[in-house]
Amino acid sequence: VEEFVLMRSFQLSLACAVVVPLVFLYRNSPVAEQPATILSTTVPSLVLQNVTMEDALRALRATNQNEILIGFEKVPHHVNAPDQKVSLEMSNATVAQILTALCQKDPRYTYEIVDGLLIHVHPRATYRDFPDLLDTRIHSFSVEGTMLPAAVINRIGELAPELSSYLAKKQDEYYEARGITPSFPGSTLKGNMDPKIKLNLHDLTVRQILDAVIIYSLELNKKSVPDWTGNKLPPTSWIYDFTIDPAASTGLRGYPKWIAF
Amino acid sequence: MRTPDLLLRFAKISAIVILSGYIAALFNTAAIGRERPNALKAKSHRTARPQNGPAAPVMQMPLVVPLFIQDRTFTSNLIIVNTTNVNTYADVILSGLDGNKLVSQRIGLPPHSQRQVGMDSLLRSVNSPATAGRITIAQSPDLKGMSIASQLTMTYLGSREINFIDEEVAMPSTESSLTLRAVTDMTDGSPVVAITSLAETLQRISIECLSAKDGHVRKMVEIPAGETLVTEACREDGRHHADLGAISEIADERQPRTIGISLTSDGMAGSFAAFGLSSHGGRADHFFTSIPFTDPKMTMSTTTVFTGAPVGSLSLLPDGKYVPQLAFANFSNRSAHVSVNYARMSGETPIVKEVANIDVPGMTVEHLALDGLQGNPDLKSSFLVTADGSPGDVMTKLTSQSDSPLREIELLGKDKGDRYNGGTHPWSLEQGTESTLLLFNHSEKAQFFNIDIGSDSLLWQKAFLLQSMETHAISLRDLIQFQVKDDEGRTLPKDVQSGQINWFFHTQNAGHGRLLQSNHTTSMARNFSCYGGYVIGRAYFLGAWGPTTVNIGQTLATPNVYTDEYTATYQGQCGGNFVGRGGVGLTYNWQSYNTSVVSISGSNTLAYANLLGVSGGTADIDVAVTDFYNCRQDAGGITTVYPTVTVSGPSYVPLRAAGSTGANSMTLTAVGTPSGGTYSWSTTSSNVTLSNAGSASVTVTAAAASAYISDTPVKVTYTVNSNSGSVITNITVSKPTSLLLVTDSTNPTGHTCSATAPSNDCPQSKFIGSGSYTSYLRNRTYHIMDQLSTPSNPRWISGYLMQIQESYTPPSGQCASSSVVTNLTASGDTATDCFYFCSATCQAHGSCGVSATQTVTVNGFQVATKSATWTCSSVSVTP
Repeated sequence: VEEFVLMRSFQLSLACAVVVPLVFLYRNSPVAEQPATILSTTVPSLVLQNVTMEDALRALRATNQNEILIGFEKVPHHVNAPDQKVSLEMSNATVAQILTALCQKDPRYTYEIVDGLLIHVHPRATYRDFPDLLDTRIHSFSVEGTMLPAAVINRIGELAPELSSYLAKKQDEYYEARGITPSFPGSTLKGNMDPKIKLNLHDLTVRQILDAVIIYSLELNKKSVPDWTGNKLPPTSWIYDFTIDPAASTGLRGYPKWIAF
Repeated sequence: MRTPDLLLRFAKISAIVILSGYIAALFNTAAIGRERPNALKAKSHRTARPQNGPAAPVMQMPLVVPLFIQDRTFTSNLIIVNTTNVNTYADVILSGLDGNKLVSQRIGLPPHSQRQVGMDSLLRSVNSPATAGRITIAQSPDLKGMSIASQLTMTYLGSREINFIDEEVAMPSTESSLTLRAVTDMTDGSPVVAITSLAETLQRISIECLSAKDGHVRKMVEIPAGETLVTEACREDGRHHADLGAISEIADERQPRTIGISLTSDGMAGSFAAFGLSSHGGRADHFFTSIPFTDPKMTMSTTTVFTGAPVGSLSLLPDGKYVPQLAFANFSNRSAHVSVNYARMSGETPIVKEVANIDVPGMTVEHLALDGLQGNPDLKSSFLVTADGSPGDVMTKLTSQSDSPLREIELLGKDKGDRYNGGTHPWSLEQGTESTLLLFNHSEKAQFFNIDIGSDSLLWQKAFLLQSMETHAISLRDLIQFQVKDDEGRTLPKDVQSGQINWFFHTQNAGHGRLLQSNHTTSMARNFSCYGGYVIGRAYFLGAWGPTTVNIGQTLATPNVYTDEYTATYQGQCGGNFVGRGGVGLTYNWQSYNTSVVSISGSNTLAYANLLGVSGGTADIDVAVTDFYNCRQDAGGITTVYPTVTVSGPSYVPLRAAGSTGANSMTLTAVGTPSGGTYSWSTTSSNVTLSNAGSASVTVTAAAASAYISDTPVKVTYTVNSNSGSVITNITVSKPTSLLLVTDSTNPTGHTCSATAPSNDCPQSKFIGSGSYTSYLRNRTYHIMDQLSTPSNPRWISGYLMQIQESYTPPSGQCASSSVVTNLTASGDTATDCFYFCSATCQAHGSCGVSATQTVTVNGFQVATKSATWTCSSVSVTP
């Protein structure tokens, strides 16, 4: 485990237990201060017609999924509530220009860049009216096994101890208050090409862990060799989606969901 | 006798003469040059021209039978053979001894046919009282080559046993000498010789006989223009006979002796022809043998060949012991040494030995009986008789005497050095007659003898390989009865009874042959040994020329080159009338005219060649095919050499839906030879897009699913020094469409439910409760299949990092549950789903169960929807 830098660090391990220490300089910077990194990347063409911000970011990522890495926090919403739509058509625009245009069209959101690598799109403060699980601080986060980094994102509510405990507690309270003994059906999907991963992170928020997983997946992509078909595992990105439901069985007045994409 | 004021000279062709016999003199002029099919236009270097033909071209002159006899004791039949595949005719003209025309008739000759013309019927058709004369045969002037062969078969009926006499046809030649020579077998009395004048004026003929008993007899006769003189050649006071019935009276003189006869004209070359009869026996067993004459000038070697000699007991001939008899006449003033070599087949092995050698003093005759020789019952035995001195000095005759009704069989000696490469004969199986082709390879190497058997447009062709000194016998009846296939798989119809046969080879002086017609019932044996000359007139490939392209470093074989066979034309051209396919045994010479591009790998003297691509470019490849007469025909074509390019990589690529991060591309890698070139990738399909299309490795990205397997071509062109080679790889764009269950197993205690488990996984998961307990674990493994997969042809999208995702509807049932615990995502071509279930109710041995619907997507495409129901003791998944 490396020493913290700026009190935050994590260690990433690649497949085959070859430990690759990586010092993650977690720094959120205002857009205007960003060096010419991912923001200056040019997208040849992007045409969006009446899509949500999530769809827009998926489309943006699809233009260059090895380099355009995104963490997206959706504005909490009620189930089946219509989401705001945007349309955009740009050619040879930089990622910065696209993001700026998107955030102008859906002003609930703003974005920032993390270490020149990650695009972090999140609601402006006005829209963050729910206790944000992403701010939960995790003292020690450790994952080791055969699993996609994307699965880590999907299962962060289970794998991050403090978050897991909180969620379990809220659910326990919910069932206990109703005298219900819950069950836990499991169906764990695994692929034969899932990589071996090893992650040890300390004193980070859930949001930072999610970002760290993205960086880890990027490293994994860069350091792996293409297989016989010329492919290798792409890096991942994350979405946090909270669906408001006062009667939710989670005990959270809604359903939190972490999605890799 | 009258003295001719202008002597005409005629050459005597000692064998049966087809006009093509004159091919010996043909080939000093250009062969027919034909354009090659499927190839370049003929170039100057492909102009065929014999380089070493033996003689100058000669004029076409008619075929002549010097003597026919048709009376109360002799019958004569003319057999005419058409050796070509042309429907043609010949004009037959009978003239009396006085030279006046008796009758003429045009004989139609279908392709590859024989026709018999009886003198009796011809004479009766015009009520002619003539009993003797000569026959002139002229083939259709439309025929390009010398395509008609002919022979007179005489039958003597004046004795107890029928006597068969064969008279081959003479063809006059301006290239002949003024002399004809012959040697008789052991004849009784003076030979009777018919000398027919082909001149338009009187000529004087000097007749000289050599005999051990009588010494030299010389006399001079005069023959008016066009007349035929029949005379007792070796009596100074010999009678001339207008009535051939007197011939049998002569035979009363029983003085057996060998006689050499020389006829010398004071006319021009080609002005006479001659044929004689030797008389044998007394009145009861009286019979005749033939005296064929030879022009010494036309004799090229001092060796005489006798093919298929009767020796000992024979299966084809009447029972009896056949003893070869050799007669020699030395017409030079010097003594000649003669050696006799005998080649007999013992099983499949030829055995050769010298059986005699003898000195023949100058201007004398000798006779030799070869008793005690072991024979071959199938006539697979032959003689080579070699004399020193000059060609034509020593005349040799071989007969085989027996105590059978045949009494004596004659073989016509052939000049080993003659310029003929084949023969043409009639064959017949009618009325129990057997026809046997006898071939003798007297060269030092194995040789192919090509056989054409025809019968009114039918043609059967096959090559036979004869080892050195082998005598081979081919039974026409066996070929038909056993339906022997020729080299093109054809058989002769079982009901065919007669026809025409050619044989030929393509190596100089390789051998000789004859056809024996024999009949046990009638004690008949007739010999047909007409010369034939066959040239190649075209070289070609059965299919298209190839290889038209070859890669650098690659070796590809050309197809075999074939030729067509033609009768030789008297004009000296390499080609006349078409006969059939040219057979094997020709001389081949393959050549590349740009060896820096294409070289001949291995032998260049076979019917095909292996072409090696050396460098990029084009090369003109030529094969020169040369025959016995040095007639050359060319074939070939252009071969283009391309750089070699090979492609490696998958043959399918998965498709993905928008938003998926699974693999949807693959890399194809090309390797070009030689190195240093450039690559260009392209596709005509909209199923894929290509990236890095200008490099050795292209990225192929799926855009649309294939409609069928390998429907998407990806082409790479490799260019070096402006030469390009291309390869097209046909791939399939595979859309993930279904899951194929490959394993399904359940471990009843494979899972631990723990209230304190840090996370959820297949072996262990957490639940709200206390402590832990064991539960079941069910593992199901799936392969991901594409849209073209069928039960009989399952198509697993193997090897790709596809994105596999599963989702569940909110569980429902008697036990509350907020969600199914799942990984949600995985990668690969195979997915394993482990099912487990934890609940405090189950821990307390209660009853509990929930259900949910599972949806599995791969690369964004839904591939399965299943219903899962968990209980405390098991999980069901359907389908």
